[in-house]
Amino acid sequence: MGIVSSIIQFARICRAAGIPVSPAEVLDAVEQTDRIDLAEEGQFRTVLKANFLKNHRDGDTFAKLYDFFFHHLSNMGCRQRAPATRENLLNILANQGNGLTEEADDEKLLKLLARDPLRYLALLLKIQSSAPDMPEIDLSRLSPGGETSLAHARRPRMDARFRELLAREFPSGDESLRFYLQEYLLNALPDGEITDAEKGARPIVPIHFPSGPARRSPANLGEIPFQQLTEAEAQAVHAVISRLARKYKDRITRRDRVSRKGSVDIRRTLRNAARYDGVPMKLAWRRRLPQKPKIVALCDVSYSVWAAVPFMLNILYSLQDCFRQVQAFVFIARVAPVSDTFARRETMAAIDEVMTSYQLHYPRNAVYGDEKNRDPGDRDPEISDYGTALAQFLGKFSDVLDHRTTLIILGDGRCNFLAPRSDLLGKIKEKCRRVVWLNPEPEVLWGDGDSEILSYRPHIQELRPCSNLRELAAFVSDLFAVLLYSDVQK
Amino acid sequence: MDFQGIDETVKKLERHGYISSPEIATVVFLANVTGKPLLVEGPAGVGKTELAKTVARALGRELIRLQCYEGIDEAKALYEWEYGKQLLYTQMLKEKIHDIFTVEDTLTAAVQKIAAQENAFFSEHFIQPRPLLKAITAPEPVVLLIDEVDKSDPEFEAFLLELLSDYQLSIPELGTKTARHIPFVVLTSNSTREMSDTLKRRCLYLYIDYPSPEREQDIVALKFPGIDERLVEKIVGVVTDIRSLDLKKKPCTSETLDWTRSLLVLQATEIPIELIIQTLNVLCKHRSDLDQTKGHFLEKAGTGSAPLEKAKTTP
Repeated sequence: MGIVSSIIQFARICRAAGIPVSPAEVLDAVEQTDRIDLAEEGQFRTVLKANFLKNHRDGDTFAKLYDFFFHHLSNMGCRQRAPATRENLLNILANQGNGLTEEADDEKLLKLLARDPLRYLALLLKIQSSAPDMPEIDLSRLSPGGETSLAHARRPRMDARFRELLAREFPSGDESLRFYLQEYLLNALPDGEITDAEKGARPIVPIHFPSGPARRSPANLGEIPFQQLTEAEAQAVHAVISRLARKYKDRITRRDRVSRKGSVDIRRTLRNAARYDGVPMKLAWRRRLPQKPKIVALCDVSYSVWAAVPFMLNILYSLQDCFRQVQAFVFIARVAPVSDTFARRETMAAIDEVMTSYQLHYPRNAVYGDEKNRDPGDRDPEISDYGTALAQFLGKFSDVLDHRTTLIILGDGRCNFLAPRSDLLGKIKEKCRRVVWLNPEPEVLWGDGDSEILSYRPHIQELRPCSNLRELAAFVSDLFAVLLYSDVQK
Repeated sequence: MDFQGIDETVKKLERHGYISSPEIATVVFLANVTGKPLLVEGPAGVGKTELAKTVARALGRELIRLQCYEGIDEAKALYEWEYGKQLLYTQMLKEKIHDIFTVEDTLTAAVQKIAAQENAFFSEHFIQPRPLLKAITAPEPVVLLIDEVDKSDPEFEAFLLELLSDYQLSIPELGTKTARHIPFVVLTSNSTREMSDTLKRRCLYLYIDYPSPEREQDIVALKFPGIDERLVEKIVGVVTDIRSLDLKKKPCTSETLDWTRSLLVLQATEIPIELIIQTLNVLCKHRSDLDQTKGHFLEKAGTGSAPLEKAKTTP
């Protein structure tokens, strides 16, 4: 019994930490514990790992959670049940509405938590799932007059207390563990509603957006320029993008199925028929292997374009199964490949990592003479320099281009009055099948000021604005139309 | 013969030439006793396929292998009708068929008659089983290796799901075939495509990473019996060192073995830097990796503080 409930709890903690564990997997794990020697911890751990962890990128998280759950909290609350403690807590919770001062309640609760957070957690779980083996808990007792144990107004305060408590209890410097437990406790609290402020504070969205003023009217998401999206809207855009990606994946699958038929290959059919006395027993289809294109993206991550990049990367990497290969490079003045990051981490986490390393590069006023002001340790100069970037890309990375490659450049073409060197783009164009330039600036600004986009134009097959979700979606739709429904090579 | 326990699994696998970590042995044992498919992921060349082969040898079962590729379909994985054979039989039985028809007056009656004989031509006799059907219908328990499942299309993956959940297949003309024995299924993947959650949920998951230096030494010693222990230690030391570099493709276990073989051919007892550089092509398969590794070792040689240099002086 003890082992079963700890496995169930561990599964819940895994889920809270973002590792999806299905009930079937929990059942499997429980069943398999009968087959192993429980005295050998390695075996127990392997059982959990083989059933719960299905993506090796989550390996570190799993190891931490396991260590935390089974080692740091070795005095597992569920091994020896402690009715006294539970009663104690119940009393506190029940008395809450009965005139006791709030301060005292909080103190008691926190003391209890400090002694044994896991037991508290176990209790909360029980309360939440109202498990059948806990008949002694009367749920109505917990919510006198429809009020839940913790009043809404007091949640932020509890939040702070949790943080403080956890910081004290687990001073190992392991932020993520503390975060998981805290998140978990907050989620587990029998308090249905979470205020908007708290929602915003949750670090689910990895992309750091400037927290602009909240938009009152629900504007059309597709039309809001990327740079003006609030964090919540950015989240919504990412959700739309993943829906889009699924749609295109399905479309590709359907197309594959259709291409299995195609037209009859007369020559091969006749050759086959010779084996059957001239009877065409078996039709041979002129089968076209799906031409999977390769995508190379070159994204400007300077301040002016920065906001659009995460969406671009998200959609490309969400769709990478549909392509032969997706490779991405980012640049301000120097080109850096980022595909490794995406191979190592989940798409959103990888985007976060890439963007975080560039987010502080705000434009400087000095355009000329920037060289001497620059901190020698700085990895990248702050202003975008398309000429240098193109030269570098051509010199160092041109081997990623081939006749099946579509090069997507995301940038505003603002060269800060440096040499645009559009001839280099011409050379790049010769090496690949298509060059598409997406400009996050509205069309009226093209060619204005230091925008050199028009000088690049002759070397681009397609130049289109991409300042909001609608335009991005239109681009992806056309990308698929051109790439997959035509057989035209080059 | 199934595995009886985890210790026995370790021993049996070792006897058949596979050094397993406790984790690998535990998962293999569990997959064996619970009859759940095993999904193995990991970098290329760490012995994913080898694991399945060894399990087959250790259990004394036949290994049935299905190599996946882009565009693999049911005809290649499941079964195909042997049209040629059917036609040949029709030719041979022409007269017999003719006899059946001649007694009938009307066309309808003749059609009915031939419909009654249809089963003779759509029977197991004319079916060519492909790996999956073979594994299901095998009279003895087998090991089914579905190799590089990530290369197949999502459609095929969905089809596999049906097989892996019920261990049965349906052939429209013959009905449903249920497995006589549940095969030990091993799926391998290089993660070029993320497998669907539904497939993953049905499997036990095992991620095999590059082996620890100790395990790798054991592997080398097992594959080359009688090899000098100190040499093994040095070989593994160098490979581990190379793996710590930031390379496009890190040398894998099978490349360690290849390198060891090369060194044995060259009758090397020591591994000086020059020899490493000369034979580096066995370990590094990208030009940039080659250059980087060379630079790394030359730098080490330059500083002179490399442990390898010291090793050279010991007899």
